[in-house]
Amino acid sequence: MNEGFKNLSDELFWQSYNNRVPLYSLLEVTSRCNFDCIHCYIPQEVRRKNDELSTKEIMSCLEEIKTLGGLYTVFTGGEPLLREDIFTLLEFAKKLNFVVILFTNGSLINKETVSKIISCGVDKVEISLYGNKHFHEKFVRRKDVFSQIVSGIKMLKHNNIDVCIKSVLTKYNWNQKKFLENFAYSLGVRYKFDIICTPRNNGDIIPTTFIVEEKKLVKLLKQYNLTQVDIKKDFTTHILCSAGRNIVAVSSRGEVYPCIQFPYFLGSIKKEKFVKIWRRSFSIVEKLEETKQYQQCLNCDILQYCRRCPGISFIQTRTLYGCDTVAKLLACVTRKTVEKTAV
Amino acid sequence: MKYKIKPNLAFRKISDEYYIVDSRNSMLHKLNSVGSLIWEVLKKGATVKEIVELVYKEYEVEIETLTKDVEEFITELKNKSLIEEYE
Ligand code: SF4
Repeated sequence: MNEGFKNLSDELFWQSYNNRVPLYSLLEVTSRCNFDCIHCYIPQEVRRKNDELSTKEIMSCLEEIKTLGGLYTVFTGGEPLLREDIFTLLEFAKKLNFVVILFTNGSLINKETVSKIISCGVDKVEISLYGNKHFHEKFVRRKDVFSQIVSGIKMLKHNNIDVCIKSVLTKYNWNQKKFLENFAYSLGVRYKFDIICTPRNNGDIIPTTFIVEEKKLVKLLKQYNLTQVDIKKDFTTHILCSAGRNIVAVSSRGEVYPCIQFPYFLGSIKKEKFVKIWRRSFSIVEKLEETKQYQQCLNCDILQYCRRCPGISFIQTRTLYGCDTVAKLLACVTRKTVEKTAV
Repeated sequence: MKYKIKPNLAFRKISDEYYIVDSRNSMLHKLNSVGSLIWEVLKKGATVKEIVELVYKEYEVEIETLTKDVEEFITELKNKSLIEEYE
């Protein structure tokens, strides 16, 4: 019997990658949300529609993902706790022996929801927090929600649920980073952040303009030693990711995508079985791996610094092989930082 | 005495081998093909004797050695808190 984490988890990753097993699935169970975050990738017009998958459709999809070898599943939204059947679904996923992760804005967590989260056996809860009361409420464009979220985090922690606070850091809440780190520490929970603001799924690039200013990015890259550029020998793994290989996403309306941030339509589970869509969609992986198609990247002088996201590139260019301008911005900053460090 | 898999564990068979995730301690375990065969039976619950009979059908090894190996494996799973006793 082997055990551990790092080596085995790498092994599991590559087993699923090479055999095209949808190890990680993300189910966007609703697009409805009681918040209106400035950076959300779900466009307003979609958020208001209430045409989401039924309980039965989500259950069948989970069963099929399980038969294909899916192990980790994330329930996200919108705000997943707005679904009346959410606990039935979480419990069902646990019965299928998935690792069940819940992404929530935390505003609907109270005594009752905590006890349901415990009895369903949810493995992990990730709550978005963007700063102190003033900043958070400005960011999510809702008043008087901060204290409810904090009490929810405390209750989850108190009941030994693995809970983590996470943020997207933008130029609007960058100065909240220290507060968030200290706050998470004081609550005894982990904190993680991202600096990538992705375009909305309808191509609206406004969120990408929220990315923190260059000076701050340089500081961050140095702080986390990200100036050590990892120039991968293999072009495909450098310019691609595992979306569509061992990652899959299903939207609230049943559309299957290689990743939730890569809205390339593979099929709809309202019309076809998930297994059929997954098997057929191997062609997307083959298309993505046609190295010679990436002429723009192959001729790009910052390729070695670029962590291109195929999803963002697709939203921006509507082609599979275009430039991801968010990654480009970061790559330019990384190159400058590396060059300065080298002098 | 019967044994069965503890509730709330996550596991999946990939390329004939089980990967088990124990979120309580963030551990990932992997079973070889014989271990995976046993894990399959433990889903419903089984005694050591039943497990030995099943593995014997597949592998035809000496029954004494096999019983000892199965007992050791069950103890290991118990120590790692991956299975529990019932009945
Ligand atoms: S900056 Fe654009 S063109 Fe250059 S490597 Fe990155 S994604 Fe490709």
